[in-house]
Amino acid sequence: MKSIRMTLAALALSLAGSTAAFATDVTILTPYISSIPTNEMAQSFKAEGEKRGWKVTIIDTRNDFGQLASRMEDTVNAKANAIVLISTDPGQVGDQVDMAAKAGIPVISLDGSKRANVAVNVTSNNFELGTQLSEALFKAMGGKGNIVKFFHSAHPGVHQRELGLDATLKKYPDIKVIADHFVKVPGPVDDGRVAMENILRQHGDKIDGVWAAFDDPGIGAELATESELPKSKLIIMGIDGNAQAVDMIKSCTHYKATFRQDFPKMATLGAEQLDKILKGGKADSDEMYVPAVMITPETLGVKCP
Amino acid sequence: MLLSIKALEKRYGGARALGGANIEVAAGSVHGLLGENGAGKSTLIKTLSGLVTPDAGEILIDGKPASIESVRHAEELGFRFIHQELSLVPHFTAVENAFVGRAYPKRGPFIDRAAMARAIAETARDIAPDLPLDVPAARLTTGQKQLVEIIRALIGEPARLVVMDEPTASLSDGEARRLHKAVRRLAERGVAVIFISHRLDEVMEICDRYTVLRNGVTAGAGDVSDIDRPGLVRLMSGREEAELIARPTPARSPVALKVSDLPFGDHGSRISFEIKAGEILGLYGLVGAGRSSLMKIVWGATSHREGTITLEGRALRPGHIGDRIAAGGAYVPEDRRHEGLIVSRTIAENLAIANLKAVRVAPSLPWVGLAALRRRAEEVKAALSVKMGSAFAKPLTLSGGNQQKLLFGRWFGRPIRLLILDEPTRGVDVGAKAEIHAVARRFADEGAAVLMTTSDMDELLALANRVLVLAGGEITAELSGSSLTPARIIDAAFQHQSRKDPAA
Amino acid sequence: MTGFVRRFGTLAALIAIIIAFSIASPDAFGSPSNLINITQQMTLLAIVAIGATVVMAVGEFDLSTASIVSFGGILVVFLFKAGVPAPLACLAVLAAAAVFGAVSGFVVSRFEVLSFIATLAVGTIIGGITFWLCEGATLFGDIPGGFRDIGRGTMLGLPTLTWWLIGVAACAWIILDKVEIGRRLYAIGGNREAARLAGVRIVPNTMFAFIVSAVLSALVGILLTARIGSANPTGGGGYLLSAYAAVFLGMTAFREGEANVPGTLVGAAIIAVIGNGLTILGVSTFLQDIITGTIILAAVLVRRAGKQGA
Repeated sequence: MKSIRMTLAALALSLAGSTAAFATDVTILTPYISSIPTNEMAQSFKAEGEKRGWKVTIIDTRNDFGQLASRMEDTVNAKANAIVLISTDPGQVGDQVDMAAKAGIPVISLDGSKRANVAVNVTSNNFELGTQLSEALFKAMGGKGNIVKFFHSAHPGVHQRELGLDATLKKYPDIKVIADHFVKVPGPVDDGRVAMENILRQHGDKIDGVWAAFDDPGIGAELATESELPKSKLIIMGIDGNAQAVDMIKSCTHYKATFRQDFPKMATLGAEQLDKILKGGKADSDEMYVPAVMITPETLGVKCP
Repeated sequence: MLLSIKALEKRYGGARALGGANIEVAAGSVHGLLGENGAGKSTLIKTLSGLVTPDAGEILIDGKPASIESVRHAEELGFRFIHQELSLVPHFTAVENAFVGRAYPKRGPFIDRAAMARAIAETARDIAPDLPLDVPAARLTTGQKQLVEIIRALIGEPARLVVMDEPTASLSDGEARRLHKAVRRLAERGVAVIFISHRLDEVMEICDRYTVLRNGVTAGAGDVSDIDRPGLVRLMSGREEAELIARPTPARSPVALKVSDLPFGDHGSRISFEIKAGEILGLYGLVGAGRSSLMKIVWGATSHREGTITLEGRALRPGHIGDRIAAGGAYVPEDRRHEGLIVSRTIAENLAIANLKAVRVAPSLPWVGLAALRRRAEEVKAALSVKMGSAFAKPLTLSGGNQQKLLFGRWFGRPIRLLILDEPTRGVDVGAKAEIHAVARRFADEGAAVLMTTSDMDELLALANRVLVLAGGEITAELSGSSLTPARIIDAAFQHQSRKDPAA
Repeated sequence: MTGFVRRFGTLAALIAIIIAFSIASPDAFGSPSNLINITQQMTLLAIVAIGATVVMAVGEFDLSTASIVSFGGILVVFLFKAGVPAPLACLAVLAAAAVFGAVSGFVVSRFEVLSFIATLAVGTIIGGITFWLCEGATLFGDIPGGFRDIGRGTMLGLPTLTWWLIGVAACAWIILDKVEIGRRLYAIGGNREAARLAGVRIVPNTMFAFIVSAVLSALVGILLTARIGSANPTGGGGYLLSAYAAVFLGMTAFREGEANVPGTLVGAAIIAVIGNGLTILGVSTFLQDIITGTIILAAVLVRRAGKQGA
């Protein structure tokens, strides 16, 4: 009896050993690889994975969710060991997530949202980000004035930021949204620029602040202000820590702050959690937050007049 | 009598298409409908199919006067039409094609494919036992497609009259024989068949009766057993007595165009001919004899593998239109709307497109001047007496004759050494026809070699110095001087088929 | 009356829209500086649309334009990062685009492949090359200030971008309406077989049209990068549909049913004015698309009505 149990254990061990001998296939799926943060996360995750000996493949579907679903089905059929969704609401590929669960393939999400059958969603709390941004902007404006809002409600995370703004606005009755613009993707910088040019025409000096749900339209707004109304005192703040935005902050423009989500940290945390799961464990929680970092002229070591 | 037509008349604008056509078709018989190109056969058929309303005359169906209002009505009367351009859906099988536009058998809301297949198999067993029914139409031969069309004509409301327009024109002999059998079986089922053909031998073989149209008038009708082949030719041409004054070939002109050993036709034959400067060579042949494709090869619009074409000693490369234009060539295509005019552009541009250098503001600057465009248009207008208003109007605002003159005018202003005319006066009224003939003759008198093809016998005789007759991809006769008569032309045009038939 | 509607209906519509916006917002929209600024905002779209116009003149479509815009932007920054001087980098980008245009034009004319299919394929290839060059990321940094100036600032009182539009439109108008090649292109577009039989060489002329379209798209990619200071591999994605919308609007203007440069400018202006005016009036972005689409439909329907009435 004992010997049988020993044999079984040995068999199990050798099986485990043999699976470990094959590379662990981890597939990253995202529709937004061309956006800087998504790219950063994907690349960091890939590096983290390779450190652990995983074979990491990145698949991008260029803003196309239909294709994202198809590629995910392919990945499940190819029997990958794990799937990582980046910058996507897993609900948009819900059927495929369930399909992966049925096939026993763990799915984790970075910068998405939580859902059944998704082991963990590692993200910044986008709502919190939106609140942080709004608080910082409104304080810089002295608690009153008019803002322009650039939003993109099609992205679930970016939409949460907008909700954070709405919540904060309730605390600041003297702040008014006098214009808003749904940012078109692809081409958000130029779209933001054209919109801001037109909004400046209408409201000019009445604008005291620009609330950008992500940096791209904020950059466009800065370019527009620079050419249309350089003397304006308006303050632009955004989210993402986009390099071009950081450059603008450093150059003492109207761009005063951006909130960088700690994407490498998200990737690292995500990889740690996935490692636990692949080793037979469980994720620590179904949603984990990585706090954002505020970048201002001060943190960049410049003094603006 | 299933169908009798009496004194049918139809005019299009000024042109008379039918001027007293009679035909009597009995159930269960195959009736041959004969005539030269343009004799009125297609207008007669269009009347039966409800596409054309006659101006005068009577149509009796089962002895009762009737008027065929529409295509739908013709269909209800049991008339079926099988056109030369077959209208099958390429990726549908015979069974599927036969039901296009017909009522599908249904089981509940669904199409009953088994019933479809049964219905077709039954008909096919009778008409064409060896026709594959489950192969897409695209993979069938032309002859098999014809058989599918015949089966299709018999599906649905019972067919009483089937009209077949040159069904054997592009068939091999074996396929044609298979089709003949199918046609005879059709007649045995009590269906009347109107069989249009240029193959006199097959008419003699499978038809019970014939009707010959000439210039829109019935020239003769009767039992096939009562007439012979020369008799039919005589009825069709109708001109054997008329001696025409043929235009002599310019005596001491040098050879301008020389065509040697051009592969032509389906049987691997080759043709060669020459045209002298100032000579008009007419090519005659029945529809499908390959005249237009020969013209396109000579013009370089279609390439050729073997043989040579030279113009005044210069070799013209196969498929190079530019060579012809550089050597002084000009081409007036057959299909004015689709191959000739650029209808979205102005008259002036249509006149300039082949020679844009002529409308430059300065000789070395490739800048098109509006004044130069207008000037050129005015020159052409004066030279060819084109009736037009503004040079910058669209070409379709002109009459057919004037549109045709634009195609000549396009080549105007440069010495023309070779002029290729494909049906130069199709759809043109009588007055303009004479003017266009004068233009063609003028180009010849100025030293151009003119190669012309036309279906219009009068035009051929009025213009050509010499005529080559094409049949089955070969030159069957070269006629000039006193031998250039309508009867000999028609005879040569039908000659190829008669040689294949040892009985004739 | 119907003749007038048919000939100038679209232009009249543009003027009507401008007047309507000027009444609704006399200070912001109607100010001369805003009207001048619209010419700058429409420049990139209009240049892509002018390229499309040339291709439409030969009766074809070029679906690779958007990919070439993205490609142009990415390649120019890529070359900057590799240390290539700006003028050389720009020339290299335009030359690369010309090669793509030549390939599309050759495949379409020589093998008679539907241009939809051929340019879709070429565009997909270009998209792949673009993503490969930048590894999917937005490229930023190493962009010389002098280069940025070709897409920003003003010159002689007009925005620099507007000058580009004026230059490109003038050249395209001369090519299509004034010199010999334009007659050939329109002849091919009007009736390809007739043009061929009249001695117009189809392959080189069609290739020329596609090369013009590709080069102009790449130019837009360069100008876009100069304007916003970074390059995104999908940055040109928004231009394809709007550009063809502008061309179609333009086909209803000035000349019946033919793509033409002045018409395309009117079409691009309509799209730009609607975007500008509605944003100034604070109308939602979503509504702007609905209104633009409705205007295109209306323009086509009015023209048809005019035609039937005439």
